Amino acid sequence: MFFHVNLERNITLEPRHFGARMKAVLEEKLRHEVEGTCSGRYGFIVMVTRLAEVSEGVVTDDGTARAKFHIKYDCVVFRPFKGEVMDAVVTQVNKFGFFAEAGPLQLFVSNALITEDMQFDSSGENCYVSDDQQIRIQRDASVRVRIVGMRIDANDIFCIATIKDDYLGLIDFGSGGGI
Amino acid sequence: MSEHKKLMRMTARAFYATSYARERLNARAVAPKPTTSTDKANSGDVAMMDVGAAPSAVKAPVVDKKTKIDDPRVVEVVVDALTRRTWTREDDLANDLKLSFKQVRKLLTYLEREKLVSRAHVREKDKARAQALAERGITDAPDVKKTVSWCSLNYGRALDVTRYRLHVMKKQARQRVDKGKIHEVYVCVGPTEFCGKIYSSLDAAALLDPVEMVFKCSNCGCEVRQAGKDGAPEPEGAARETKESLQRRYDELERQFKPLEAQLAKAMKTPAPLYGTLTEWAVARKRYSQNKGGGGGGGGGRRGGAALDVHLEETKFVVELGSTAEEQQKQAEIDAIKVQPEWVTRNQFEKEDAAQGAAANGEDAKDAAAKPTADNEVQEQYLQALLSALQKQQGGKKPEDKKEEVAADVAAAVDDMFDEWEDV
Repeated sequence: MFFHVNLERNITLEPRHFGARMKAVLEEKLRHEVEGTCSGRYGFIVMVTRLAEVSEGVVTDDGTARAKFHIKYDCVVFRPFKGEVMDAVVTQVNKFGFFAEAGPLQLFVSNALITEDMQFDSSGENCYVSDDQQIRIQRDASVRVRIVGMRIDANDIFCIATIKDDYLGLIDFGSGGGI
Repeated sequence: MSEHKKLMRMTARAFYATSYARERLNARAVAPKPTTSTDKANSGDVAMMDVGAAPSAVKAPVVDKKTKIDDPRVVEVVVDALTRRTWTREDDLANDLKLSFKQVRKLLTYLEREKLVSRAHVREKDKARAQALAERGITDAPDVKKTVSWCSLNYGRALDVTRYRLHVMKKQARQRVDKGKIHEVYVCVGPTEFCGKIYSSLDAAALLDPVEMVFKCSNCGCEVRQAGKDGAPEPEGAARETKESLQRRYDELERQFKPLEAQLAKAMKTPAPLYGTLTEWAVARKRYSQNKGGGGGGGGGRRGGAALDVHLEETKFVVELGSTAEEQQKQAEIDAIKVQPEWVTRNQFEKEDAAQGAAANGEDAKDAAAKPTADNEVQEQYLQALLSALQKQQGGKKPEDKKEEVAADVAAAVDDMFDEWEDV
């Protein structure tokens, strides 16, 4: 799920940037530092939308003449939740299940959470094929999954998902294959 | 006792006694451990993580001496005591129950977090201190105040909490039955260097070897297999939960919830006792006591106090042997002879009948009475004659004679027939 939240961060700027473009440089540096990162509480920071407040710079006392700015900013974050349904792209398939990605989030669907009528097939490219050969989950295929378990670390989130439910499973064969 | 109070006592026994004890154990286990940044992040999102997901990470809680002293039954004692009170001082409650203030306060904090108890903290005159000063003869000392905590059960909110708790528990149990096991267990089965490390599917990202596309142990680099499959050993405590065993557990859960659900249904029919906030309660109580002291003071004066009137109830025990009073009453109703309406039991046309009877002739009435007796005599005579004739018949002839007689009769009848239809 996506949220628009207000966060804060300290940015240190070198003296060569102290000038007319200082604010633009600060924003650029903030984007570079925070976009794409992940925190256990807020999830993945997708995009900084606005600098709400930039404090006055305070020269650090480490003798480098750099200045520290306290910045309040608005950003869009992506935070997955247990029970959430999302679309993902399959990245790896093996006999234990398959891995998929939903934007920055990595998911794993174990073979116990794949419907019983689908079997692992390693004759060609690794894939899960249904008994009637109509559905084939392989790399680059799009799947709709439901998150059933999460592991939240300080700077990473990993989820376990299932396709063993109504309206879940393959939604697009992708560029790789098909019937 | 009101249904809400019964419900509160039942929930205290069903849920909070064990959950409080477990929380105390966990608190003891976590408290002495220095926390890292990772731990902090994890502990903040406990609700989203399944603790059982990583079997290797789960450690037995450390129990110290103080924790052992805490008996989970203390929850029942305190909740039972609170159902007999309205707003009460926490210190008074602890005194009455002969428990330590600290223990009661800790428990009440927990119950407040669980939304069962409302608490209020007010600054009051320190009467003990004032008394001590007065004894010493110091009268002109300024008033000394101290913060006092009050507590009361919040029946309305507790009802909602219990309903929600039951709903969520049943929903989760149902999902578990329907969806089966979520976390797979993987075991390291290295042939040369067997480390036997156990992983869950939450560790899948770290286990995947991008070159060979198989799972490899992050400890020894050997192959990892799914527990209980492909000859991999089944780790202890990770026994495969079959659908049947989960269904059995769900049925057991439903069976145990039945009395609680019945009580919940009863409680929902009646309005919950409402004591208001501490201030409202104190004002109402003061007004009520004033009106009471003033010898009535009219109905209008009592209006405010009556809303929050304090009716403390004594605990009553009713032991019913055999069937309950309700059942007995129902049975008695079924067994009782149906009361018939008056028009069925009593002849309402008595007067008319009497009038008709008087009008009829007395001789006719006599004939009517004599006729049946004459008929009876004739019938009896006929029956006796018939009986004697039959006895004579049976007594005079043997069965063989009878046969011969019948044959002769048949021959005579045949002869007659031929006599009638002679060939022309």
